[in-house]
Order: sequence, then structure tokens, then C-alpha cells
Amino acid sequence: MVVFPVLLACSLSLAQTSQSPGAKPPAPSPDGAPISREDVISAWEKGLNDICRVEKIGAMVFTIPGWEPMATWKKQYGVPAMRILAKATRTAWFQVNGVQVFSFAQYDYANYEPMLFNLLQTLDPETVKKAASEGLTLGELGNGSFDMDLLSSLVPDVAFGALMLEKGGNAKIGMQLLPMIEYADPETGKTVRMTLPWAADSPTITPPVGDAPMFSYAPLEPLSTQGPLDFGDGKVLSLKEMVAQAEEAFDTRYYLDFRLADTLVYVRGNMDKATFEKVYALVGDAQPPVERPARASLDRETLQAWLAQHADSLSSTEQLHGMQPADFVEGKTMSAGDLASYDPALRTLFEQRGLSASTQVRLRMGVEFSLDPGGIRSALPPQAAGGRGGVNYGVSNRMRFALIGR
Amino acid sequence: MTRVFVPLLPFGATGERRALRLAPDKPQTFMTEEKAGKPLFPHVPLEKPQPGPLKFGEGKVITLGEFREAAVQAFQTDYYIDGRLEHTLLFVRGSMDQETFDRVYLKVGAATPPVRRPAPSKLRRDELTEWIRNHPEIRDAWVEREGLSRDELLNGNTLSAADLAARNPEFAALLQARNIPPETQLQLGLEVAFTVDAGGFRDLYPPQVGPNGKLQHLHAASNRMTFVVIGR
Repeated sequence: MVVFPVLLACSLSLAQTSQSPGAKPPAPSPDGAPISREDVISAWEKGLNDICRVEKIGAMVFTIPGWEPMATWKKQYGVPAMRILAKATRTAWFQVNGVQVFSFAQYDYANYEPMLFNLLQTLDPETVKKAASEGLTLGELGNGSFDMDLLSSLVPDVAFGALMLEKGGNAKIGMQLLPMIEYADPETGKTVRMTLPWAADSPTITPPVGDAPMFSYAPLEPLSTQGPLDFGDGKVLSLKEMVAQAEEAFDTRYYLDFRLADTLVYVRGNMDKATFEKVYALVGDAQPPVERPARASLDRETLQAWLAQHADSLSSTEQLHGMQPADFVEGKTMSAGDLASYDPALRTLFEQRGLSASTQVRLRMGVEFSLDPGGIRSALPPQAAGGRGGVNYGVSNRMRFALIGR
Repeated sequence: MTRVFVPLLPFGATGERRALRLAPDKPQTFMTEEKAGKPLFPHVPLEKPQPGPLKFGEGKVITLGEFREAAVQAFQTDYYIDGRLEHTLLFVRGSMDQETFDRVYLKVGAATPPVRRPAPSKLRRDELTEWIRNHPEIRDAWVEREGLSRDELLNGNTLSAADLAARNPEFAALLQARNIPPETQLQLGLEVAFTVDAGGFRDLYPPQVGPNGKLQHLHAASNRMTFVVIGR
């Protein structure tokens, strides 16, 4: 029997992670054991073989970040597919003489907040209201011109990226207010921000939507290298195995930092020495140890100014337990006890956080987007259950993204 | 000290060339007397560090990730780090300003660049043999063994393992111990070995503690180091 539990813990701020490239730890299985290297290898070998077949890619070198929910799309998209694949896997994408290269080095995390806010500013009040009440499709919202950078920054994994490529136009986007409080931590005195559990729209499973591609096909660079280094039809190797194969093919020795030697790479096709050396400079390097440029961020005052005009369209007094959106937008201050009088369930939450009834809290407001192509995707490899059948772990495809500002 | 060098012609399943020494080194554990010495180099002063808000105190070992995190806190600046290098151990001591940290981090936080490795300069074996031939003080230091002349070695003669074994029981025992088949063709040669000996010994490993928690073994190695010039 196959059991299919659903994990509903969706990623509220996935794209905001400051995780460093290459640092993605192996995803734990539900019993806490790390996913095996064999699981990682077989998932990527199959996934990238399928993608290369669909996209007609002759040669690829792809640095593998860890286990990933994989899926493939049915049509050839070219450039849009590669951009989404790179963002979903937290890699930087390059084309070297037609070889599709994905490396950890040179990847930087985009902050979706300013991009989502730019989108928000283009919407008229009616559209905001509709998005907050019944939702809109991405196709309706972007009129076919939804920003590629924004979309790819919202994609958490390859399986979700595949859905967005094929069904993106029909994916539902929703909006709601995100009520929060700020308070001084009783122990450290540091300001803590906490979201109130008043979201009306928690992740849930909705029926899958039909195909509606958002991007048209844009061709990749044609393959212009042919050489003695032949990786065949696609396989996963360690970086040291890849280098050893190149050393033998070219009768040349290459430096390899031993700390990177066990990095997994998917390799496919063949290439000459000059091409390999350009590819290896990308996938054989680590992220350079330099100052990280400040990411574009959303200024909180700018967000509050927008909310002052639109908060009423985004929420109902039921969602706010009788409070007014203006209380949050203006940053009203009150005691935790007074706030809990609007929703008694908050008392337990405050007690767990060590807040007394007299602790002063400041009301704050953000906006939450949801993006939902419907259905579920596998979050982990199937877990064998006593050698009979197995357990599949699915997550809702409804993703949530918070706009909070700094 | 010169020694016999006997490179073997291709043999075995892999056809790989292997070398076998007929006059093995003295054991590494051979202890020599430790003598009071004098320094080889005069003191040359180092650059003075530029102190700053990033402080590590009197010295400690931390990971590269912790090193970066300390700098992020001290300078309120974010720095990239590759997750695969994060657990590299560093010894850190003293304090530094941001400019110094930026330069230090560039050195210790980077991976070896993935580029072509330059071909190492090589000494040709025939050059080495010629040099030995022309330096009798080295050449004659090797005492001829029964059944093996210095000229044969210098000329790089070839012979079968069976022939070599027949000349001297010492050679026969060595070839047998290495499981070298009698039909294997051997090429004779000479190498030059240098020894550098600071006297005494040093610990090779941390002290080994037994299951009872008490110190049980210390692993020491002779300070006599041997460097061999073979040529290719």
C-alpha cells in the first residue's frame, strides 16, 4: 500500500533565505535520517536526463545542490526554462560554446520583496480587491508580461518551476493583509517581530490547473564544441571524477580544491579542451570570499504608505477580529493583554513566547501573496516502509510570500 | 650516499613501471643523538598587524564559517562564503580592521582556483646518470655488491629477475618478497639520496589513549629525513 501524507508547512519566506551556495544540507527524511547520496544521484540523473531530452540539450555540466523535488516539462522552452532551472536550484547559469553550465559560484539570492512590491504598485484598486477576495490568475495579473526575474525568484524547486513553465498562466495569485506585532524580548531586550496567526488562507490543496505557458520558446546557444572528453548521455559524477576524466582525455593536470572534490555534478555530452577549461573555471570554483553587495530591499515606510491607501481592500474586520486595518498601518501600541482580548487564542501564544499581559506590543502590517498552480508535489524521495510499498510525502503547491519591509 | 636504483620494465596486469630499491634505507625509527644546534637563518621582522574591532584574543581554532560570522558582527557587513568550505579550521589570533580582514579573507576563504596545473619541471634520468658518472665521489660511494657492478648500473643494463636472483641470495630474497615473477625484465640504474638529520625524534600522532582512558601509545618518528633524486 502506498501512503501519501501531505506536509502543509509551506515556505513563507523561502526566497529570503541567506543560505550560502553549496551549503544546502541534505534534506532530512521525516524520521530525521539524511537522504542518501544514491537518492540524490538517481533523482538528478533522471531529472536532468529528461530535461535535456525535452530541451534538446547536447552538453551540460550542472552542480547539484542536494535532493530536490524534480519534474520535467513537456514542451521546449529554451532560455526561460534554463533561467527557472537555475533559480530553482540556487545556481548561476552560463552557456559556454553551447554547453549549458550551472554553478554554485557567482550565484546571488534575489530578494523578491521589492519586485513583488513593484508589481503591487502597478495594480489598480479593483484588481487588488479581486486578488484579495477571489484571486486572479497570473495570466490576468500580468497580461502575459509577468516579469521573468520576479517569477523565477518565487520558484523554490525544480518541480514547482516545471509547473510554472507549463501552467503559470493559470496559477492563482492571492493577497491578504499580514497582521504582525513587534515587542521587546523580555530576556534580551531585542525587538522581535511576530506574525499573528490570523491568516485567512493557510496552505491547502486545490485542484491542479490546466496548461497555460507564460513564456514562449527562446533558443539556447547552439553547441559548437566537439572533443575527446565524452560524458555520454548524462550521468552524475563527483567533481574529482569529472576532473580525472578530463585529465585523461586531455593528458593535462588540473588543480582541484579537495574540499570541493565530492561535490556532485551532472555531466552530459562531449567537449574540447578549451571549452572544458572555461566550464571548469565555473563549476570547479567556490563562491568568492568577498563582501556581499547589499540586496535591494523594500523600505517599510514605503510599504506602509501603500497600505494606508489599500489596506481596506485587502482585509475584513473578521480577519482582524474586529480591529481596524488602520490600527496596524499606523502602528498603534497596546498591551499584550488588551490585544488578546480581541482573540483569546493569542493568550497561549503570548505565554509560550514569555510575554506578560502588560508587555507593550506595537501593531504592524505586511502583505502576503499566495501563488498556487494547484495540486501537490513530492517533497522527499519515497520512503520504503519495511520493504513493502512505501510512503510518499507531498506538499501543497500553494506557496506564500510575505512583504514586510525593513 | 648513492644507492642502487632498479626500475622495473613493464610487468603485471597493469603494465605499470615500478621501482625497487636493492639497498633499502636505514629504518625510519633509527634514532640519532639530538645535538644543540644553532639557527640557520637570522631574524627577519614581520609586518606589524593593523589592529581593529575584529578581536580573536590570544589565539584559538575556529571554522571559516565562524571567522566570517565574527567579521559580519564586528563590521556589520555581509560576506559571501561557500558552504563547502565552511568547516575549514583556522587558527586566529589578535585583532584586525576591516580592510585587513577583507584581504585576509580573500586568501583563506577562497578555494584553489580550478585551472590547469603547470607541468612540474622534471629531471631526466639520463642527465642524472651522466652527473653521477662524472662525480666519482658520489659514484664510488656505492659499494659494489656480489654479482652487480657499478658499470652495469650506470649503463642501465637490462636483465631478467631470474638472472638477478641467481647472482646474489640477497637479491633473490628481495625479489621473492615482492612477488616479482622470474621472467620480469629489470632495468638497472642509480639514484641519489639526500638525508637531512636534525637528530632525535618527533611525535607523529597525538598520544593514543587506551580503552581504560589511560595513555597507552606514543608514536615517534626519526628526524632523519631522506629525499631521493630519481629522474624520469
